[in-house]
Amino acid sequence: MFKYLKFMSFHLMAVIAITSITLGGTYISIGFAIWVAVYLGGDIVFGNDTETPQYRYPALLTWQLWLALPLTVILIFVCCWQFASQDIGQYGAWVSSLTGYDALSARQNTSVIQYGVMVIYLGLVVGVMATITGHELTHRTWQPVSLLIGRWLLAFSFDANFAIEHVYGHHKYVSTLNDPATAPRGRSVYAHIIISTIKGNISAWHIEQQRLVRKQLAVWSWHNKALRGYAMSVAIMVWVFWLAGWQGLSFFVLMALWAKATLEIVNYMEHYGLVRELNSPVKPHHSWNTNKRVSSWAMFNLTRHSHHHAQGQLPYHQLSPYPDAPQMIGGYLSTFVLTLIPPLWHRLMLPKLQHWDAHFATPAEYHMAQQANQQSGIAAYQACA
Amino acid sequence: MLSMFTAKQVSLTINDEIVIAQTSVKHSILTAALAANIAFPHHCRVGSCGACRCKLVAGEVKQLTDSAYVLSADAIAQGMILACQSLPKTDINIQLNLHQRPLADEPQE
Repeated sequence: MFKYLKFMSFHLMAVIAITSITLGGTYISIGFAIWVAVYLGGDIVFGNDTETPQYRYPALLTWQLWLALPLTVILIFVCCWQFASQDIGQYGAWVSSLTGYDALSARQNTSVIQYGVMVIYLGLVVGVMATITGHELTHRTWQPVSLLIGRWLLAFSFDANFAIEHVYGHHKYVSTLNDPATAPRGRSVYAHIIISTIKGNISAWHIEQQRLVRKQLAVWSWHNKALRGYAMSVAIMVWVFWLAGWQGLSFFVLMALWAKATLEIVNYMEHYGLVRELNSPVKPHHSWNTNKRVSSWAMFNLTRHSHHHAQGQLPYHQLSPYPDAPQMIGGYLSTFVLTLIPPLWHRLMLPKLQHWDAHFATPAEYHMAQQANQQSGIAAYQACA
Repeated sequence: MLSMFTAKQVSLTINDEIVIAQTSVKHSILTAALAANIAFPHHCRVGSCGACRCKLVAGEVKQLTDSAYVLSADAIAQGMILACQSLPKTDINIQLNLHQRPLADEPQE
């Protein structure tokens, strides 16, 4: 039973987020603190999970993933309600009658600082619940419903086209210079957020354009999945504006951009500094792996990234832990925080990269890695070339 | 589980010489070939690299993804498909070079 339940932590965490935002005021910060404590502290305290249990009912795991969409919709609705001038859908009155808590007056007292916290908080929640789930679902080409739900989940961070770029670009080019999502040695996470976002969108457009040309379909038409992807985000924005006006829309745009940034930070952590020859097989050593328990449960084994790239068709519960693959510094959220301080990050990654060059790289990759060190612009990296 | 036993079975013929007498219409051509211990060229298994491309000579398949993301218009016109993304709908016959390398980038059209 627990082997099913352990992948439901994001559902519980979503309920905490929905509750804390409904309560308003300082509860928003408290909810955020719970998230950070669980995901940052949990990985430090609870160690690794390297089990790969057999599942008799994998469909249950799929339903768990699908639930992310209604939860995301409810979450965004509650945020819109916080920003709206009216009691949309009588939500505040309903909460008051149900619990006796005066949510409406608490809402009036929610400060600007709490709104700021809400942007950071929600971007993280959407990053975990919508984006990572969306990633898992967009790989399931044998389940059309999963593909559709996955794209809608990604649309909450303006990124439905990730489903195109990720599968036909990133998985093909991972750890090569052709991959927008692989950060070369020496690049800071802040540069990567901008570069990978722009190049990723351009790449998705080119991939889609090429498909349409090959099929002799018009690029500017509804056949264009990239255009449809942007339209999905516009539809969500129209819904948010209808619920909560300009204030709500401003919140949503900031939140969604931050959620997209969290995805790029995760890309950054997953492949930083790794190299591979174009057209050579993708091996487990072309990703940074981690088996931290809390991260693995919360992000349903996205952490087992080495196996994911080596065999992208496998649903997450079939991924193996690969303890011998190159290991990330910590779990996902702790590593995430480290990337935000570039000098510290580059320094911490240097011994990891040196170890990678010495133990994992093929002779050709070793040579490429030395070049990457030279081009990194960091003296310490250049010194070990 | 029950559906596994009731799913329609078809045959898969490779290069007119290797015959897999029974495979489920729910398994991709690549999965069926690998399960039969055939060294079928493959790489990403998500329909992005093209290493498992093969020519459909006879029969019908259901393609899970649009092969135009990976294969050129010429290749598609010649009947090329991606084995990892194709489920057989009928008995099928395919041809491929069992020693082929992954696709280098297709030229842009």
